[in-house]
Amino acid sequence: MATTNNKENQLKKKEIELIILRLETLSPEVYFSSGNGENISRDEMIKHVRANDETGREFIETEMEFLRALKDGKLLKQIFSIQSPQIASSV
Amino acid sequence: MPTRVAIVTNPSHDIATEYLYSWSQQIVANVISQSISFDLHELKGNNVTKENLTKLIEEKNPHLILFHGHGGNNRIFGFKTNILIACDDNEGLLINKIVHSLTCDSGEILGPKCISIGTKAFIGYQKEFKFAHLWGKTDGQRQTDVLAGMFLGPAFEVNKAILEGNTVELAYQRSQQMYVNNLQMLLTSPNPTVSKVYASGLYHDMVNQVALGNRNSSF
Repeated sequence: MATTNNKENQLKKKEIELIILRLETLSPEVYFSSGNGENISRDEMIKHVRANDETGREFIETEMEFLRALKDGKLLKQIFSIQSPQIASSV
Repeated sequence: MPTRVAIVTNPSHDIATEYLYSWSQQIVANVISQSISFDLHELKGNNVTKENLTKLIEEKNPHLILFHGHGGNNRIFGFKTNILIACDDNEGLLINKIVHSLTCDSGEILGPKCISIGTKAFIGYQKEFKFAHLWGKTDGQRQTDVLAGMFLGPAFEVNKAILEGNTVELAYQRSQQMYVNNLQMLLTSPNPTVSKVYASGLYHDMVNQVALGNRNSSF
């Protein structure tokens, strides 16, 4: 059990590192508008992600959801179904 | 032909709702420039309250309501914390209307509830509506903010298509298609300043946008 938790923690750490690296490629003048009316600068978002607080976790989840969809082909499937709905529904 | 009546709410009380306001103005001007006529009533700033909305709906009996603001899964907000529409309270105001709720989350519970009691169609987002921007200080800066435009363009395509008289189905398809185009541009652009990081928010908005009710209805 301890090994599983350890692996999960390591994975979470790697996710955080990955998202921070991605955020650091953006201009510091970029702001993210969030649902509660907050507008968070790139640097503030990096802090949230690093702290793994609620805002940071939400950002990580959105990023990982997209990266997983890209990896497992779900994204391509969705793009295809929007571009050619008739063909996609008959497949 | 009877006059088509629409109501738009623009609380415009923080940077996110200021962006929605600036884009709303731009889209309406664009549609009017095509000689498409309709009677548009706007509630703006601190006038976006439940009382004013109720009065306006009862007076004008609009066919279409465009909400631009914050939201929750069972509510739509107006100016600051003023709740305009809430489940099990006043969602009956939206009966027989086409609704575009450009707010967070309201497509999750409020949208289906509205459809169950007779709202014609409800387009909205089941989760948070995300966008990134460069903090434009004027209408002009916000309207030409290319980064914000990647997110707001597809969202406002719904308004444009519906005001032009298209069906809800076509409005939804045009919006979804624009999300796809923007995603493809982000993912395939060789331009190093076009960051793929924005794709996650765009993808999130695309998959969480819903069109409920009678998709063949039109304004």
